[in-house]
Amino acid sequence: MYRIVYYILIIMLMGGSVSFQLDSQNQQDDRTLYRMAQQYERAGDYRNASRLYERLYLRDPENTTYFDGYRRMLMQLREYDRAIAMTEERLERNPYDANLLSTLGSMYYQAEEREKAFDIWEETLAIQPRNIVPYQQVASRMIENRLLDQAIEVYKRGRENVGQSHLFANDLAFLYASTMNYRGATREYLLMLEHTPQQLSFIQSRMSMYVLRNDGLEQAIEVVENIAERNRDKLQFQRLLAWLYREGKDFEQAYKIYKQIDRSQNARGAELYSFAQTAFREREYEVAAMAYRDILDQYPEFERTPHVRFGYARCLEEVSLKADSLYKTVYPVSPPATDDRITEMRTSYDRVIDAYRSLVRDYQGTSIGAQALFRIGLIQYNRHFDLDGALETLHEVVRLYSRGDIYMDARAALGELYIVRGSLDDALTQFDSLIESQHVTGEYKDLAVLRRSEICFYRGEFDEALEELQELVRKSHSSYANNAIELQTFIIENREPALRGVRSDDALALYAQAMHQKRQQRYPEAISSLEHIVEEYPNALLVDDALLTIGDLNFSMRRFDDAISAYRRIQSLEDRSILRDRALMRIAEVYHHGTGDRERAIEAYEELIIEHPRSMLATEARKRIRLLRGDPS
Amino acid sequence: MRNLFICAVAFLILKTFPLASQDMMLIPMDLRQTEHLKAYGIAYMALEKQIDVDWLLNYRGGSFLLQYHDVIARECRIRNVGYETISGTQAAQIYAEVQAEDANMDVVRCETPPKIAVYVPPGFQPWDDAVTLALEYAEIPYEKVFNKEVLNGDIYEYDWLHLHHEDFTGQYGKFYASYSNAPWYIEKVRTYEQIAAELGFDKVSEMKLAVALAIKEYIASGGFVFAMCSATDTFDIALAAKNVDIADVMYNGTPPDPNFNEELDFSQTLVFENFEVEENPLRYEFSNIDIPPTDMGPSVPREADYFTLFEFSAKHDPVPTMLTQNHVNVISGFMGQTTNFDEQFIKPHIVIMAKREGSREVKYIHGQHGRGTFTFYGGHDPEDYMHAVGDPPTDLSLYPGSPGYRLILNNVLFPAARPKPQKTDVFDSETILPLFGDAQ
Repeated sequence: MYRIVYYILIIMLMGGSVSFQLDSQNQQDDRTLYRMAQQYERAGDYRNASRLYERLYLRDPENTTYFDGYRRMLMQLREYDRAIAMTEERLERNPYDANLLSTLGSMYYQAEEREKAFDIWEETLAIQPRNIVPYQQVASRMIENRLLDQAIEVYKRGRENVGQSHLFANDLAFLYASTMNYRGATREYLLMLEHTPQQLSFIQSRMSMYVLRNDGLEQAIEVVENIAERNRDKLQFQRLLAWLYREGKDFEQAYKIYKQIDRSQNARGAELYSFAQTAFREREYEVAAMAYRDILDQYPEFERTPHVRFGYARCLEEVSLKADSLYKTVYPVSPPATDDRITEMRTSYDRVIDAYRSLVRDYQGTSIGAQALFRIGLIQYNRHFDLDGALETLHEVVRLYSRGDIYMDARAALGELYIVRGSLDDALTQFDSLIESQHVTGEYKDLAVLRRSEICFYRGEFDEALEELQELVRKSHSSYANNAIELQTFIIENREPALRGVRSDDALALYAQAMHQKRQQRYPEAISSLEHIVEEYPNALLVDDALLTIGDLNFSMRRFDDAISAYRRIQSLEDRSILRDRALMRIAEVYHHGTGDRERAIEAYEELIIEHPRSMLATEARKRIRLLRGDPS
Repeated sequence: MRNLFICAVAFLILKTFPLASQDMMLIPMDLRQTEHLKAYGIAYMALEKQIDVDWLLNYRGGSFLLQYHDVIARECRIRNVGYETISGTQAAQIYAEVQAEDANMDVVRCETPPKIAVYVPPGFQPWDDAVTLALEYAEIPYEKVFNKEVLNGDIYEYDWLHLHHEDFTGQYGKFYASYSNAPWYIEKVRTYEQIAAELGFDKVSEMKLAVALAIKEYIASGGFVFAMCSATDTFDIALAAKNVDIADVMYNGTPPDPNFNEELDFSQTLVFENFEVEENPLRYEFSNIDIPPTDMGPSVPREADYFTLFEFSAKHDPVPTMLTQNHVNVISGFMGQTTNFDEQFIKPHIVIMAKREGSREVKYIHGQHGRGTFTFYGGHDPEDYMHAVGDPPTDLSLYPGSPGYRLILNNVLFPAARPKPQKTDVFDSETILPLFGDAQ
């Protein structure tokens, strides 16, 4: 008996195992078939994909994946009737399946039974009018069929029926943006922002997709302004509005908002400071100055007051510089400091200097004090041409602050000032100290070497100058290598050939002296030296350089006839000069920017094109002719 | 007899061309020219001022010869276009050289500046398209038209129509896979859908087909059409798919017709036949007309990617000769959504003007339909090897002698020409042949 039971058990176990193996084999087959179907589908072979999905579906009609695959392929093959029939059959078993119902609607839509499609979608929404899922399902199907406006309506109905004012805001914003209704999109993002203020960055990133467009930005600002005005207490709206203003480069409006934010948040200047720094970086100096000023006036205890005061002074300096009529000079050489216009301008920097002086006084020994003092020195030199004042200030910088960039800048500036003042030995001392100092970086040392060679040049010590330059001309990575090569080439080209072993560099020495006078802004003396070269050494190679400089200096002193005369003399040198095209360009510029004679400027530019068609300046001359003619750009 | 022939030629030259004592201007188009592209603008400007321009085919790269006028000379200088002032006698020698029987050269007189239209969508920028870039650079005026103007018949006001790299299949350039969420794509779809609705079409693809048919009709009526990049193959694909839907759901809301490739009607197309439309809606290819780099076999490095212009008989085939005027005959390749045309799908009557040697990749073709002609040029921008969406525009001042761009401008000037009747033209040959017949 036991033996019989034992055999029965063995048989049952074996049968089970076979059955399990068969099931497992079938599952393996199904998986293979499914993968093949997917591959056919991806390759666009819908016919074969459909055949395989159908086999799978018939084997396992309840499997949603197989059903979906088969239905999808039928739709691709435009076998709408079969696809609809199998979907409806499935729906009979699950009549409230919103996903299936909305898909059926989509199928009817694609089968061009549009009325029926909308009826089915309505039916889907009616299943559970207070449930958000059917609305999502139907809207998604509509979007698939590019029914964007209808999808918007569905989401809006869902929001109303479910009773959540910000429901689907993200979806609606996307749809509105897709239909280029930027007002609508912005309203939806504001709804999101109202409920989740921490999403400001996310919303900015989404909105940035359309605020890059002018109409997108305008519409967004219009909506946010309106809402922000009615919700002054909602910080997130104010921040969004300020961001939009900044995107539109309207820093003044942004500033007003930040003032409000700073006040409402009791930030005591922190918000304003952050804005001012941004505005300064964006070169919006006027607005930045206002923000810095506000901090100083309203929050004298602000922890970064020294930086605020320095920022304010820098803004004042930049604003003054922008107002400076000589800042954007069109002359080939800076107008001389004795020009009446310099004197008229002087008062505009007084406030700036006052601001820096108070910083120097209040923050002596700090980097802010050092920078303020250095900037005073620069203004005294560059804007007022007050050499003694600038020297005194910069010596003070060097005395008080013997380390860091400010020290190196001050030393280099002192050297420059001594060159301009004519104290070449003192200048050498400054540059030597830069070269010898262990704390000075390479670029400053290169600058010092270049300046030393220039000093040798001005003194007529050409061999020494060339020796100084020897190393620098090989440093191709240095910022000063090009200047060094230029000076080296000029000296070599213009030295007189040795006669009986003795060089005669008189013309070059005179020219070097004139160049020093030019740097010192002693323009009449420089012109006199240069005229002397032209008269005494008419065959010297640098005669055309001398004439060009005479023209340039006269041009900058607004002696236009003298300038043109000098430039014309270069033309008479014919093949002896390679500067004829440049001289013609200058003549045109005198008419263009100096006398304002448009016709003669065009004539001169044309002369350049005709006489020197291969000149590097010809392209620019052509451009300017077209500009003067008013050709469309 | 020989003397009689020379006298006859000289008489013809003097009668035909203005060789009075005044000077002439020769605008050479060989390597001595400094601004090849702007030279076309000068020729166009001369035509606008009612100054005839003789196009010297195959003479120094396809030079222009016209009477000397200060205003033209001045403009040449300002635009940096090289020219030579020559005497009437020198000009006569040039004409004689060009018209000599044994020279593959000829003269084509241009008399009227063609009125140019560019088919572009709203919001288009000149740098989106090589042709408009070339026209802007050469300073040749043009107007913009789009679907409405095409369907209203306004294009008949123009002599020359350029098709911007448009997708006539209504699949928005098949950018869906990569750019469906990009603002520009969204805007494009929306705009096209609005225009289609305004014009009474349910689908953009239907509107585009109607536009393609209207343009085909325009050509048949005597218009000149020039197309580049995807406007070439999609134009023919749209025509072939006249009775079948090839666009997938994401493009026109309905799946394509099953087996649509079997339903294509190649009798409708201008250029291509027996091709297959790409079935994958997400693949950035329209059909197998274009041979994308991935299908080219061993990859061709950029440095070795060239195409060669074919040489035609100037006297017997003036049209393709005009269209291939250049100072070089090997030109750097450049890609586009449609880079080239597979030779095996080109109809036999189409003239192939350039191809990559040793391959089936045809670059430049020309054909006739009814009373008009068309030229298709593969690739997007001759001076931007792989132009991609968002790439900066090409600065043509860096390529003033671009041979690839010259081919575009040959087409612009082509309608201004009044080509002599071809030898094969039965009616006109009767009036021409006796003269030469006597001489022979």
